[in-house]
Amino acid sequence: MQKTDRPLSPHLQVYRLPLSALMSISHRITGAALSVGCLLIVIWLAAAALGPEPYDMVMNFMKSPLGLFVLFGWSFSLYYHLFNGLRHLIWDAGYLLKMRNADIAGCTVLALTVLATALTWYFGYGF
Amino acid sequence: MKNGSMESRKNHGALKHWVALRISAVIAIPLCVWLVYSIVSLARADHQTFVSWLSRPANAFEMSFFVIVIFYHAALGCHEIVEDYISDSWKRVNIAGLNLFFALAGAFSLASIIKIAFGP
Repeated sequence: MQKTDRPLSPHLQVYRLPLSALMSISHRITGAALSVGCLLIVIWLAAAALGPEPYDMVMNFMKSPLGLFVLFGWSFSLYYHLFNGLRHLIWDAGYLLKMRNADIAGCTVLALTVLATALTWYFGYGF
Repeated sequence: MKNGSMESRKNHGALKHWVALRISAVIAIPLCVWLVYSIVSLARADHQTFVSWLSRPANAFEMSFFVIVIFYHAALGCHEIVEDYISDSWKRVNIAGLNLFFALAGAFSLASIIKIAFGP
């Protein structure tokens, strides 16, 4: 298919996206971010397998503010993707397809994400 | 109407892809919850603590299982993203590259887990 120079009518610049649309693209974005997180998991495991020195190098980054921020973002993304994925599975089964129910489920997903992240960090990291 | 009569029969395994994504997602749910909590708990661990944690058979097994299921799910998910946005000749290159990346990542992870759990 040839690319043409014909102009497109504005879409993302002008359209206010509803909640379901924002959550849908967030599901994809968190999925992509988690895939990058897979790379970090590999690096972390490999560093631990190589010995204390490489492991300490990786952990110095993980314990720094930036590393903790990355870890926090990763855990938040994972919970969001998990709960929204459950919402998708419920849709696949044919439930909660009405707009209002889908939006209520969406707000539930967001609430659960925040709650799960907070609980994990409170009990796991010990804030 | 019979599926794929005169038109192209190529759906590129779309149904299998869809089902595999959902099944790997369901299997991944408990694994992910376990993993997130474990990683956050280990965020301040030193090398010895981490090695002894991973050497426990339950943890080593679960970590390996997690790596396999999640990397497979991630590869399928990224496959969908590429399919949605790239349609020209670069698409197959991208998908092949993705599969290679996740296969290598999975292999390295499993090798590391085995070395940590069973190595000296």
